[in-house]
Amino acid sequence: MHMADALLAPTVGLAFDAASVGLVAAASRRVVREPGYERRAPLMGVLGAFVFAAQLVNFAIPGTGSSGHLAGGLLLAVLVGPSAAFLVMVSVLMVQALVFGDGGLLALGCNVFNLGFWPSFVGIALYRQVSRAVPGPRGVTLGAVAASLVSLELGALGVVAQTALSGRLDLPLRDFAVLMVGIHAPIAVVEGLATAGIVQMALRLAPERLDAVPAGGRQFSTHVPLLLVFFGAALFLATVGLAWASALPDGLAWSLGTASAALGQSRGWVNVDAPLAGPLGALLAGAVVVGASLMLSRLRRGNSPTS
Amino acid sequence: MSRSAARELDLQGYRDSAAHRLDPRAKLVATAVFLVCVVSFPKREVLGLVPYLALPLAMGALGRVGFRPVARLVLAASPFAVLAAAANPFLDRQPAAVILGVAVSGGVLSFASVVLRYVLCSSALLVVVAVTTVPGIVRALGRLGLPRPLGAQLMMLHRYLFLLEDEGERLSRARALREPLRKRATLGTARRMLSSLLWRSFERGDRVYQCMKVRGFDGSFPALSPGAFRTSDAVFLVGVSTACVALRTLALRVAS
Repeated sequence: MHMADALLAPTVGLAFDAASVGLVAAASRRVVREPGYERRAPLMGVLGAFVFAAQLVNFAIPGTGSSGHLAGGLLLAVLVGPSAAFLVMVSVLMVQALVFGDGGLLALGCNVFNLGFWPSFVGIALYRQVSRAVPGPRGVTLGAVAASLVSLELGALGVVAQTALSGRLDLPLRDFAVLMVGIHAPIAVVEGLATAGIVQMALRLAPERLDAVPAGGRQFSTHVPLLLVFFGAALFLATVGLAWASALPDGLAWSLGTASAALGQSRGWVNVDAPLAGPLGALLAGAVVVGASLMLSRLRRGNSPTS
Repeated sequence: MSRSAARELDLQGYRDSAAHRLDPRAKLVATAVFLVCVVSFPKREVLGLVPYLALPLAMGALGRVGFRPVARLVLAASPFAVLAAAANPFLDRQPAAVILGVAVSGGVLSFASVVLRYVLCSSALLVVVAVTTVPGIVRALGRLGLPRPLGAQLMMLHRYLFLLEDEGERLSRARALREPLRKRATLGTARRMLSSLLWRSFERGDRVYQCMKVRGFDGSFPALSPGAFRTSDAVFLVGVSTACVALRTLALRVAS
C-alpha cells in the first residue's frame, strides 16, 4: 500500500515529509544513545535487507484465496526496539523508492508515516502490553495479531486520508476507507501470526537477543494500549465480515482494479449503510489524534536533553 | 523480473558520463523541484505535463541509462496508483474537454493525468539514481543534513540488499521444488522459512560487525573524495529548476 507521488497534492506530501523529518531526527538521536548501538548498527542494516528478502516469501492468506508477504515493521520493532525499527523501516522505504520505483520521493513522508510510524511506535507498545499481560506463546500471538491489526489498519486509513486530502481521486471517501480497511484486515491477521511465529522461534533459539532490545523510553500509560485495542477490535469487527465475504483474489492492487470497475457499474458495490460511516469517520479522526499526540510526545522526549 | 531491472540500474550508476559527473546534491535538489512542479498541476491537467517528459529522457540519454530497466520498474511498481485512479473515468462522467472533436470526460482526463504524473515522477527518480548510485545519493543526503545513523543504515542496507534477496529467492525456489503442486507456501511453511532466513541474517549481522570492528569501523562511511560543488552543477541545478518552474507558470497562464 505504498502511496505514490502521482496521487499526492504537494502540500500534503510536503507536510508529511516535514513530520517524518522530525520523527527521523528524534529517532536518530535516541538510537545512538541506546546501549549496544554500535553492535546493533550492522544488524540493523542486515535486518533491513532481511525485510526485502522476506518479501520474496509469498504465502497464502487462508480463506481469501489471495496471497501476502511480511511487511516487517512490527517484527523489526520486537527485534531491535522502536527507534531502531523506525529507522530501518525508513531506510527500507527509501530504498524501495530509489531502487525499485515503489512509492516516491515526495510520498516518502506519507509512506514513513503509514508503514513505519504505526508498527514501530504504536504497534510495539500494544504488543508489549498484551504479551506481558498474557504469559507464554499465547500472549506473543495475541499481542502480535492485535498490534499488526491496529498498525496496518491505521496505515491503510492513512492512505485514505492522504488521498482524500490530495483530491486526485474521485473514489468516495467512505467506500475507499471501507475497502482499504476490509482488504487489510485478513492481511494484518496473517502478518501478526507470521510475526508471532518468528518471534517465538527467536525466543527459543536466542532469548538473549530479545532481552537486549531497548525498551524505547518511557512506557505508555495503560489507557493508551486499551484505546488501541479498542481501535483494533472496532475496525476488525466493522470490516472483517466484508473482507471475508468479498473473496478478493491476489492482493491490493488487483482488488482496487476490481473495485474501480465495479464502482463504475454500480456505485453500490461496497454497500455501506449510512450508520457505518459515522463510526468509521470517528475512528479515522481518533486515529489521527492518537497518532499526532504520540508523535508530539516522542518529539518532545527526543528534544529533551534529560530523556 | 523487476529485481533484475533494479540490479541493472543500480550498476549503471558506476559508469561515467556528463550526467554521472554532476554533483549528487544538484541532481537531488533538481529532482525535488521537478517532482513538486509535476504534482502541483491541477487534477485534470494532461497537456501541461507532457513537456516534463524531457527531463527524464534527456537525463537518461545523457547518462546512457537503459530504457528497458526503467520501463520495467515503472510498470512493475504501478498498480496501486494507476488502479486507484482507474475508478475516475467511471465516477466523473461530465464532459470536460473536446479533443479532436471527441468529448472527453473529466474522469478520463484525471485518470490520464495520474498515469502521466506517475510515469514522470518514478522515471525521473529512477533515472537520477541510475546516474548517481545509491551511496552517492546517501552521501548527498548526508551533506544536506540526513542524520548519521540513517545514513549508515542506508549504506548497510544497500550493501546487503541483493545478497539477502538472493537468499530469499533460493529459499522460495527450494520450497517450490519440494512442493511443486502448491503455488504459494502455507502460513506454517512461510513462518519456518522466514525464521530460518532471520537466523541467517542474525548470524550474518554478527559476522559483519566483527569484520567491521577489526577494520576500525566507527559508525561512519568515509568517501574517498567528498566532491566539490562546481559551476557546472550550479548551472544544471538553476537551469532545470528554472525550466520546471517556467513550464508550470506558463501552463497556469495558458489555463487562465
